Amino acid sequence: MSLAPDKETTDGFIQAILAELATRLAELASTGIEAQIDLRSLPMDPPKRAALDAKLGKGDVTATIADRAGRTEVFETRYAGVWRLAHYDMHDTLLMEEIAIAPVPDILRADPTDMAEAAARLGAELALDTKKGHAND
Amino acid sequence: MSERIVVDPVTRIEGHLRVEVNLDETGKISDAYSSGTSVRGLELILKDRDPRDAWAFAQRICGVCTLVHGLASVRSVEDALGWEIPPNAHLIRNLMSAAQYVHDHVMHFYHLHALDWVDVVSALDADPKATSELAQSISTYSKSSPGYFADAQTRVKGLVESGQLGIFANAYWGHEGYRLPPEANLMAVAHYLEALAWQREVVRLHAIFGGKNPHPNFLVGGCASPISTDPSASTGGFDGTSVNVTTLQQVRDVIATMREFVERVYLPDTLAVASFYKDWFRRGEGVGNFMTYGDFPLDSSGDRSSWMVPAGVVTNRDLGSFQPIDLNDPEQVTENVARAWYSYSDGDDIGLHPYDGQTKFAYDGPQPPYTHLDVESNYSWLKSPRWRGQPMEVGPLARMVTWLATGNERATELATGALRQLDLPVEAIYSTMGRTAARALETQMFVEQMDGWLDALFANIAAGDLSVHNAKMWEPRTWPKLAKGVGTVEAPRGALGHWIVIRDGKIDNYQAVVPTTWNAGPRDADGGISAYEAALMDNHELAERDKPLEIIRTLHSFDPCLACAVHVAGDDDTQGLDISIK
Amino acid sequence: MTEPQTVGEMLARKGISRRALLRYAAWVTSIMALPSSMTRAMAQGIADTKRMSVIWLSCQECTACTESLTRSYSPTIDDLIFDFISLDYHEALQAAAGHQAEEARLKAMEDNKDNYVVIVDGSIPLGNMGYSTVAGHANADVLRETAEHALAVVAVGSCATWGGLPKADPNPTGAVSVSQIVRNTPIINISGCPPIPEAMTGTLAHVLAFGQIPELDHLGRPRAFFGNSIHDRCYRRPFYDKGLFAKSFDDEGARKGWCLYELGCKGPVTYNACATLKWNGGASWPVQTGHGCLGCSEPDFWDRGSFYKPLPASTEPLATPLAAGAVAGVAAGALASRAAKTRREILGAMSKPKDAADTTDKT
Repeated sequence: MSLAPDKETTDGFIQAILAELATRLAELASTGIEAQIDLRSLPMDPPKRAALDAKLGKGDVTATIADRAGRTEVFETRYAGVWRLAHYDMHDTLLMEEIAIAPVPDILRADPTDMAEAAARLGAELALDTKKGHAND
Repeated sequence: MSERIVVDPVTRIEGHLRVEVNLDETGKISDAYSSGTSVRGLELILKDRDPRDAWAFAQRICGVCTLVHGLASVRSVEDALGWEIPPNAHLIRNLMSAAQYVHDHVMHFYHLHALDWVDVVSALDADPKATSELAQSISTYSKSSPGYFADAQTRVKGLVESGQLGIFANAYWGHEGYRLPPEANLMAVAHYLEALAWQREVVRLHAIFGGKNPHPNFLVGGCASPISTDPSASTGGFDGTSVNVTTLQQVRDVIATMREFVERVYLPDTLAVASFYKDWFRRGEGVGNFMTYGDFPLDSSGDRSSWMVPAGVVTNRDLGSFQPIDLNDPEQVTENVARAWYSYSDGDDIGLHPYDGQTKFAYDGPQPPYTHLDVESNYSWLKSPRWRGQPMEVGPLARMVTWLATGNERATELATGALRQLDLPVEAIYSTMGRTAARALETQMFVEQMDGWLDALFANIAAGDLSVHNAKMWEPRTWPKLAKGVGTVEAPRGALGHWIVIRDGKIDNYQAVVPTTWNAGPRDADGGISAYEAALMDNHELAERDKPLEIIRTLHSFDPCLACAVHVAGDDDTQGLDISIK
Repeated sequence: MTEPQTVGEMLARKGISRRALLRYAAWVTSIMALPSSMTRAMAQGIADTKRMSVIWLSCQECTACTESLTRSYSPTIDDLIFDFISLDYHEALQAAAGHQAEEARLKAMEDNKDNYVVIVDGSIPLGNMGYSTVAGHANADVLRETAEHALAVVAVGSCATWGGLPKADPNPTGAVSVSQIVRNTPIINISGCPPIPEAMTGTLAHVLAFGQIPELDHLGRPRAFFGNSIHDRCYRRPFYDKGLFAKSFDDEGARKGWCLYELGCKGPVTYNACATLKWNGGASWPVQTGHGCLGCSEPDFWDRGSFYKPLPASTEPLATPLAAGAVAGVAAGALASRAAKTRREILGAMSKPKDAADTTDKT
């Protein structure tokens, strides 16, 4: 006896997710309200996952965030404003995957604190370079 | 005059241990008393349960040596019933047990023992570049750049500068007994952090075969890890179980990860640290008697000749005195309660074999809060096991001694090499640092064995033998009315035995006699001293009485596991409940 | 002594940006079943607080709960104790011994009065105060003293939450749970033997970020981890639904991953996150290996009959399940800064009656 995935079940499941995405995307377009869907919260076996990924496809934008704490792979799907994100820890273990409905996923934006730290660092480096420049005179 | 020094809690161990020592006028330890201060009562809880369930209860004796009690328990039932298990089950159990050794010994060295020798605060003064040079001079381990050590230093510095030292707060930093140069301290601190990450990865082996770690699953009659036969068709893309082609390759990778860390980090670090503390090869001898139960069978024949660890006893440091043991012989293994908080119905001065063991609480120590125990009377929740009336040391040093006594080539090669490198005589192994070094050396031996067991498992699978469980005796109605047996494991901390009596399909008596009980028990009726106390009374002088670093060094060399040691059960004597087998 | 640094500053020291912290917050938000929209607030909350002082008390225990914590993948144990919390007392891990260890505990209590968290593993024996002592003090006394001015007490493992193995029949030492000792401080129960490491670290992150305890079920457990039965999220569930059962531990069904119900699996009456979070970085979990669930996160699971006896066809849930999906806006109102939160407010949040309509029987 086989437990091969039931095509009807898979199709129905994918339809339900896509309907939800369509609603959220329309809302984003008209009101600017962003949304995220945590794929952990949706029990999906590999066939369902494959079907969803096939449907969403890959769009124009791909980005990788790689830092000392881990890695995040981001790409826009075939639908503008619908993004797939996969987060990995520093040992490259997959932490979680999500779908973001947003003009730009939040994690791609530079953080104000990081920017402030960067500005300070840049300033310090400039000052150092200037000093070095004088020393060479 | 003598002065009493108390260390309670003894930290960086498993469980609740207290020691009280007397110092003579020169500051030397003249008397030592080791006390287990917490009791749970597992053996009474096991009474009348289904013997097939016992492993889960027994496993909770300890979550550090997390699988050894589960393994001893299933083996005790199998021994009692003459229940043979498939070769694959032996191989899987051996892989799990060896993985426990490697994991446990590395964590013991870095996270429990190292800070006795390594001054974390001094590491802040190290030059990362010089540290890198030091590391590269003793090992080819890839993580040895100045940046790597600078990162580790930054993390510790962060703690110090934040004003919240956390787990490093209020320790003996700056004690004159710390002798490593700052660079060696920094190297060890970096590896302390590295080992935390490493250990998390290597226990995946237990998860693959046992579902999780801590407390992986066991099963009487074999293993509860059927080998997946159907990776796709019927399961919709899932492997049926977590034991399959992919994960067995992960097991291979885990073994390689273990081996690299042991060969390139743990062993070189241990010998490097030891080279600065050679005087610690001259103190901390235990009782001079050593015992192993042996382990790592390949089949259910009971023929011990192929076992990796031999079973036997060596007395008075005499390697020629090696003799086999019989754990079913009532004259050989006994437990004594003369100075423990238990009583026996026929008097507390006799020893009882575990099949006839009794367990009855008789707490007559001081009511808390207290400042001192009455060490002249009863003073511990540990019993005192004896072999033919003598105290025995069990654990890594005991294994090294029985290996040397039986002419094990690899053990001899490793021990000789280490002694030569440190320029020490063979007697140096009978010491605090000898115990610590023996632990590192044997880890190398276990990690070398693992690939062979995995190869054998692969070969059996390739030949079509997938069997991991023998279900023939699963139903208790197939069992004899009365059966008794002993399940032994040569556990990381030493000889472990679970004795079980099964009557009408239920547990009638269950006694676990565990490594830390052998080593840490209180005195016996004849005043016989167990290994912890004997070791502390061997040439220990406290440099600073308020910071008894020397005491914890020697205690940690045994890797105390107190929840293991204090597992016995009974009831309050006022209720008069008395468990015994006649 | 220098001014305590915030977690954000500690992370910045080792080159971890706020953006990287956002990734971690996304993960915690996910496993805590919080709305994704709270991710940024979670990250901000963690970054802005100083490392939370944590005192870990061990009573009648086996140390598996500590071992489990060290297996956490995110955050890892070193991240946790170096960057997120200040583990000021923990017998198995701390460097100090003897009276210096006890002094560290007392100092942490004094320096962080009303703001530290106490974690407890192990049950507490009341049969005789001499049954379990540390530094000459009975476990019960130390727990009462330490919990009195704590922000919250987290009971980890089934011994601390329910009494566990020491309390199993005939309970030789008179063992009780933390909730039978601690009266006036909020308690979070994270059961399991041992608990899933990420359930412990995720809960701590929540408390750290919001100064509030997460929403709990009727047994005081975070709903996010204990809201679903093992059975409902089990990858073998389709086999159950189709009536395909392993009949012995190594038969064809066992090798194909069929349902373990007939071999005594307690998954249908056990509420925990093993089936979704899995164990040891996702390597496996008990049912995936081929042994039934023992039910180790449920009260008194030791005394509910053999682990190999099949559940009756109609099973009463041991715990009233709550659908994790229903847990929306858990910490609504928790976005105020941590400093503004008092114990009283937290207590208030805790005692908020649960909406009975949330309760759905999942078995």
